[in-house]
Amino acid sequence: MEQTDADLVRQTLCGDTAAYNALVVRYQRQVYNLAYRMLGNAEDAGDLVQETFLRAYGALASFRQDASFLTWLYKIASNLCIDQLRSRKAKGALSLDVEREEGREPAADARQCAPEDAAIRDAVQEVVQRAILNLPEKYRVVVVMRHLQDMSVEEIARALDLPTGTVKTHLFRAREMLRGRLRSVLEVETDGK
Amino acid sequence: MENRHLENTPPEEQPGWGAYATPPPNPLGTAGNALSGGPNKAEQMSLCDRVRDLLPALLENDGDIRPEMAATLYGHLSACPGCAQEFNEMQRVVALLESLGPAPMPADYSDLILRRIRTEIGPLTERAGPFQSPSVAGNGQQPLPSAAASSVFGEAAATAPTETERAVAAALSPSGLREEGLVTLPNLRLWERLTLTGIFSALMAFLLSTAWGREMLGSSLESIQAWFGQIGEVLRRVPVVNWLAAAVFAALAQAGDLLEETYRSLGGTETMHLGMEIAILATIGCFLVARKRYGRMRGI
Repeated sequence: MEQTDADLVRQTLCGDTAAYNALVVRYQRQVYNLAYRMLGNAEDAGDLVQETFLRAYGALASFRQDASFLTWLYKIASNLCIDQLRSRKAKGALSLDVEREEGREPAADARQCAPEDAAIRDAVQEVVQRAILNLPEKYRVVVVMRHLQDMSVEEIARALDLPTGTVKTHLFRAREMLRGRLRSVLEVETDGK
Repeated sequence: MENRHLENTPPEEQPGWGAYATPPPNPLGTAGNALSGGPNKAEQMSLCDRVRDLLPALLENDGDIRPEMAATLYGHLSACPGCAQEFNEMQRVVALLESLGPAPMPADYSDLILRRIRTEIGPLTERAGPFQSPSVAGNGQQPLPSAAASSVFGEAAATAPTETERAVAAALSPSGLREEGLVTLPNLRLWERLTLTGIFSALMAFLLSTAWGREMLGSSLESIQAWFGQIGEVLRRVPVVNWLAAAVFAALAQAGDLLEETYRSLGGTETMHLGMEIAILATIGCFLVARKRYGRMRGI
């Protein structure tokens, strides 16, 4: 039978690093997805996955065992993402254009469809990913958590330490911004129908 | 929250309903009447505005909108092309976002992470706890645990602090202490901190400048000292930073001692000067802490 997160956390706290490895295997994809959508490139996202799990390990004793381990991971990962985005901004090392270039990453299932369909889907996904990367950090994180990680508003509120009302407001503003930026895609879709 | 306009406001107070002689019994009824009764353009606009206020909640579909209200809204959407297009676009933005799906992970990171944990941190044990000393943590390499704690709780100093500073910042910051379950401190904003500091300074000045206050202060100094001593004792329970924190509070307790000594030997005026200096230093300290925290917490 599969062990629960709480069991694995307890075993890790007793010195069993293999138990922690099981938690990494279980959740690295979710953390990677959050990091990739927040940061826009695979390399930074991979580094962030490692950093998140290392930090979570170091602070594991402070994890409240009745809470959700995944939400706690998201909290650490989103803090790290926002720190990284701010330091990027402060350094000015990565211009938005570079970020956009690096954001190009073919979708996993795109190539299984007919070539033209795949090409269109790639292009649309590219535009959507760019639009997400152009959102301010606080809006980006709620949109990614809600619509790409499928978290509930309450889970997001817990992960970000925000009131649910604030999360909803951020979500609404973020979607409004996206609606403006995705106008071209929305219009193409309407014409096509 | 968004329902406020339609649910909590009595119909007669709602903007746009002035023309109706008898306000309908409930807001749902008002919406229905507005649709069927062919209200003038301004009223139609205000109805659409209120419907659009509710569309995000309708889209979220998490129980914020009651079923009857949802039915009314859908009724309006089927009759009003403008609002229908608005709602349709909102739904399609969500569909576009969800079409992205999970990003393909280029590598399995679990082996790498396990290796790094074993070499850089080592196994956790209940005895060592999260705040292992740097020497235990990893052969003098990046001591992750305390740095992690400081960043996780949003308390990391902005400008690359030393390891000890980070550990102390994490343990002494309000949220650090809160995580340790030692002290409950409200998460204060800058102006709240400044106001509290001002009140504290004014109180100190008042106590020191009146004979009654000096008498009170003289008699209660011992309890203040005892209080600082107790906090020092409590902080001894936090590993790694225990001696530093205890030293800080011991110093504060000694400062109380000095204040009391001065009061006894030199009288109230000297004590007042000393107290004012302490208050000024405390003000500057609070300001610096508040600025650092406030700067970091902007944004999310």
